[in-house]
Amino acid sequence: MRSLAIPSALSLVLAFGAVGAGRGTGPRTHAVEIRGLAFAPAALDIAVGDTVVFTNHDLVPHTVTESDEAPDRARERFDSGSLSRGAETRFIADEPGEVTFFCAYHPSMTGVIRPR
Amino acid sequence: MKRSRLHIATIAGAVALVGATGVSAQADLDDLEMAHVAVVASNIDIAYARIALDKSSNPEIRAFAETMIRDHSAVNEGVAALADKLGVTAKDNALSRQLLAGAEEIEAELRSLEGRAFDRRYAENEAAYHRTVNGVVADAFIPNIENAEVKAAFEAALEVFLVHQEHAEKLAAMAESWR
Repeated sequence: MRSLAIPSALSLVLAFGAVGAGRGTGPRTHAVEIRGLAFAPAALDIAVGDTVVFTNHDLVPHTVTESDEAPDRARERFDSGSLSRGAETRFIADEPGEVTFFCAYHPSMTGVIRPR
Repeated sequence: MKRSRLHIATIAGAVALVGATGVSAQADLDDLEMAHVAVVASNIDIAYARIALDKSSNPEIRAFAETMIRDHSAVNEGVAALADKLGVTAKDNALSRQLLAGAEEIEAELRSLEGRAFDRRYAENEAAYHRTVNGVVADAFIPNIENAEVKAAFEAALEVFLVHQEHAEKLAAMAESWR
């Protein structure tokens, strides 16, 4: 599984690319809104190769940080870093599994992505 | 702008929390005065957090304090941006001044403590402070705010502060074992 954090301007361009590819059988782009100190949706089933774009709509900064529940994974743990209001980050999954994540600033904010 | 009469029991709770005493009259606050109280309350919590970063080596306490500084600063920036947009200025008032006076007592107490005693007191105070201020904002301020944008800003801020309260209460419960 591979994850990328890409600055928002570039990610917007890439997101359109992913949506375009999604018209056929290619990867799709899914949106997760961070609003009211919650991830919405908090659980998301996606296909391997799909992209998830997280956008912070709150006044306060948040992170999208992968829980450290799979220490044997080969890839680097996903961590968006600080996302101020309006900022976004994107996660691309290239293998099946379950990725749980939370906000490092507000640990009660949690979610899960399940690539199939 | 209408002035809202806030019941003393609610205000006294907030003020007593930060150590002030002698509140014996009802407070009439308009939107701009309530906004000022909110900014002052945020600044007080930022001051507590800075003390925590000075004194504590506990990673849970330090992470919480950093979140308080980050979030309350963002909320205050939001208030300032809204005030600019509306062409108004938050107004100083007696309740703001009482909150600040009371906070000085808490700050002095926090500075006098060390180690686990400090961590416990900081966590307890954060839980109590957020519980009481959130109660004031929810029950006394928001129902009485006249301007729709100001009300929306308070409602958004309250969402943040309720999560702080939940976090602080968990921290305070954990702190019970730090003896």
